[in-house]
Amino acid sequence: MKIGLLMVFHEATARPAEFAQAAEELGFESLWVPEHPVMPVNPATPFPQGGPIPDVYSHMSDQFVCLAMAAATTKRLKLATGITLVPEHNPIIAAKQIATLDRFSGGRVIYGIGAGWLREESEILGVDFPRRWSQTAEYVAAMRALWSQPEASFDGKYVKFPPVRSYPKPVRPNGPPVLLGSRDRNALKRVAKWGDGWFPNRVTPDDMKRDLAALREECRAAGRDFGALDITVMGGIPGDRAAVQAELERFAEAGVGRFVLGLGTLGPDDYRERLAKTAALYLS
Amino acid sequence: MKIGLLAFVGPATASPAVVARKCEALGFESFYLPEHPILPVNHKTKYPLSPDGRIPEPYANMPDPFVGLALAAGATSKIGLGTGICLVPERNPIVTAKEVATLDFYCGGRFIFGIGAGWLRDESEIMGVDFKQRWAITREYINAMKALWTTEPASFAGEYVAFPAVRANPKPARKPHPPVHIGAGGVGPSMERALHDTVAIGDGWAPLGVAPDALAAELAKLKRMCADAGRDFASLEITVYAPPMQGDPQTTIARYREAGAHRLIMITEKLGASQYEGELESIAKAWIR
Repeated sequence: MKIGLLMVFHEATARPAEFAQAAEELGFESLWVPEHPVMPVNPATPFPQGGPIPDVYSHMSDQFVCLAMAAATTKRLKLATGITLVPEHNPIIAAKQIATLDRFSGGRVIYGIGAGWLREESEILGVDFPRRWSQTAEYVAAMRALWSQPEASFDGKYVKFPPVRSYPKPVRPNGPPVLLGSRDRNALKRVAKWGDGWFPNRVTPDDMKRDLAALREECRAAGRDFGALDITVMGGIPGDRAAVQAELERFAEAGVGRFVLGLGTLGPDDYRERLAKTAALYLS
Repeated sequence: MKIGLLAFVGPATASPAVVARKCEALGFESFYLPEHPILPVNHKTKYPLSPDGRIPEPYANMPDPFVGLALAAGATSKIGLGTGICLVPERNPIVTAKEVATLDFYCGGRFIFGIGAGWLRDESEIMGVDFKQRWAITREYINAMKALWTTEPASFAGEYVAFPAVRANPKPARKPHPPVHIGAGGVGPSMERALHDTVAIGDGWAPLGVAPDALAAELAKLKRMCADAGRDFASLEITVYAPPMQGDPQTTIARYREAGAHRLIMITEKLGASQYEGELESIAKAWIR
């Protein structure tokens, strides 16, 4: 099982460059950085996990800047968006950012994506909220055109451009793998249709066993190779090393290839110690 | 005189991290990256500096400046990191503000926000810019970004960008915000506009290729405009991209110092993995004392 770390970088945490270096040295496989470009004050939309939206949501550093600083101090660590809110970004700019990071990191980018849940935020950033997944699918298709074609053009509902050149290209010919971080009712169909993998959070091994059987069916219907998909889950496992390893084994049996541990605030003074403890629990 | 380097890195060159690290070791004061997100294949706009109007190859090869400078930030500790220049109206100002703030926060206030509005109409229009209004959009976007960098919560009500009360952190390390340098010049009305924009929203002015005498004349105008607007001319930082050589490098530096410049930026695209070190060493030898 590959073990990744999901970390929100903000004013009170360790810095991305040093943190990534320590994570790589300890043997973690990937670093996942989430985003919210802005937080509206007093939104009407409820927080999906209940209660008020945590203060840290208005302190998330830009994920591409963090991942690029992490790339500069590491050689093997995969650099992942966990997740990026696709329709909130101009896809031409985003495509160039991802291509730049992938090219200069030697092909280490994983593009974990979502469409957003906070309507007030989405609308400030120009998202067609009721159709945000359609917008997301179109943006990803446009980005793949920019990543793969010497002279790319695109004609969609949300984005269109005449033949343009955009270099550097990502290292991999069709761009980095696109993992959908979503559990809504059409998520599996979307993964089968145009994703390179699935990245749900807060799931159990039993959930995954059931959902991956359904995903295998969706892949068969769509003519996709289920075995080629990157199956990643995000969460945290309570207990000692034995309990953690047993749960990771259950996830592996269910068909999960990567577990991404969501970290809290790891400060500049204690992050090494806490990462070492985490490594002792999670790494095989 | 501060000596900066504008690096045309691309798919066939060394990484911005490697180039910036070498620049820092050689004593360059700053490392700049340019921006063009895309290059339209069939452009109607002619490139002003080539006889047939064709746009040179490096324009299709420019990395994203914020990702490129963040790579550089992770590999360096002292050198200034600048956009040379960022095409402000082609980007969402809320997202750009977050990128600038994050980069400045983590590099310890080393970021220099060189900005422009774009000259390639075909590109601007693909990126959704009302080309005739591009400087009006740029001024407004910069003011919106300043609101996001300095106030909490921030809100903005403009013609081109508006948002209700929002929170956006981290704030930049440099207070009140990283310096905004107006990367524009030209002749006649466009020079007038560049100076006006410097007074209106700038912390510095950074024209391309202006000779020392012409620079001195424009700075005299800028000084008067600052006085009229109640701004402190002495607080503005003056940068010249690609200064035309005045004899030899040290004479050139002396002439620009007399004219009122604080920073000269050398430009190179000879940054292949096997050539960047020699190229940077030769620029440093000529210009850095």
